Amino acid sequence: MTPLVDVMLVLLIIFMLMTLIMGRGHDVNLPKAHNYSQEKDKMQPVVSVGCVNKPLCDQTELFIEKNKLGPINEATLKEMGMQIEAAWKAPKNPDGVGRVYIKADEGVTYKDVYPVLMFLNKELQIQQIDLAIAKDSEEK
Amino acid sequence: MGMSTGNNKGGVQSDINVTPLIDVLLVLLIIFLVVMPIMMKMETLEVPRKLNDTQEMPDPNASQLTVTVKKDGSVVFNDGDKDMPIQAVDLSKTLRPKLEAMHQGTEKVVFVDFEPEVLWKDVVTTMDSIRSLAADINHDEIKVALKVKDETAPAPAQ
Repeated sequence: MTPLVDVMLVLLIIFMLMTLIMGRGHDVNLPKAHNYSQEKDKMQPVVSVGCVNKPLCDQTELFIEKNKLGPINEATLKEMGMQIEAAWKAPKNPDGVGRVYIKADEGVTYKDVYPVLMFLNKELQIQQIDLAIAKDSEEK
Repeated sequence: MGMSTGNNKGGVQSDINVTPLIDVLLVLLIIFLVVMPIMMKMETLEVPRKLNDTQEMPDPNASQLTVTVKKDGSVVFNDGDKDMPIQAVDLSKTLRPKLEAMHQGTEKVVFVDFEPEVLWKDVVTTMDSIRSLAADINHDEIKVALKVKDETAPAPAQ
């Protein structure tokens, strides 16, 4: 009986930690930057703008956390806003309330992200938006 | 032969039972194996905090510094009076004296604007170079603000 419990505990720990290391939101190619601020995950909602045809990136999709909302338009933005507000109402971490983390693929164009930023700014009254970046590995 | 201490069942066992020890060590090993990538991952998940446009304009007296990036990669810099087309590599050179000239106490905001076709990569790179300039001249309070147009969508490129 004891070895079984041991194995189960180990598996439990593995899965608990796996969920932690898995990046939040949809997986996108983040743009690289040298200057960034470093913060712990405050469990703020994660909005991702991803590419559909990967190398071409001629179509984009909106994601909230890992859920696909579809192409960016008024309806999906509204849905995104509702889900963000719901996440703020039941915060997992009060520090994340009022904040949104945007993960946009480096291949998308400004006009794809702009409506999202404007929606957050206008409808949700966010004044600071956290943009996800990847660390530039060519740093000296 | 040898040191048989008795042939009764409950005899003294000479070696330690290592199984629970190994269990604990394995769990610790796994924990550390998994925690390492979390720490590294945290670095990649870092968030540059860009200030989105606040509705109230910073300071009416202060001239607004606006950086507009065109889709061909060229940059137009506006210091409130006139547009100055510059090359992207000259951005920090142009911006630096302007920022240094701003008096203490005024909120240092650099507005950024992009043509719709500009790649997100270049958007971030531009913000990044402004930010590195800010780090250079020790003005942590320099904010990068998005220039908000009145339309709901950015103006189409002509």
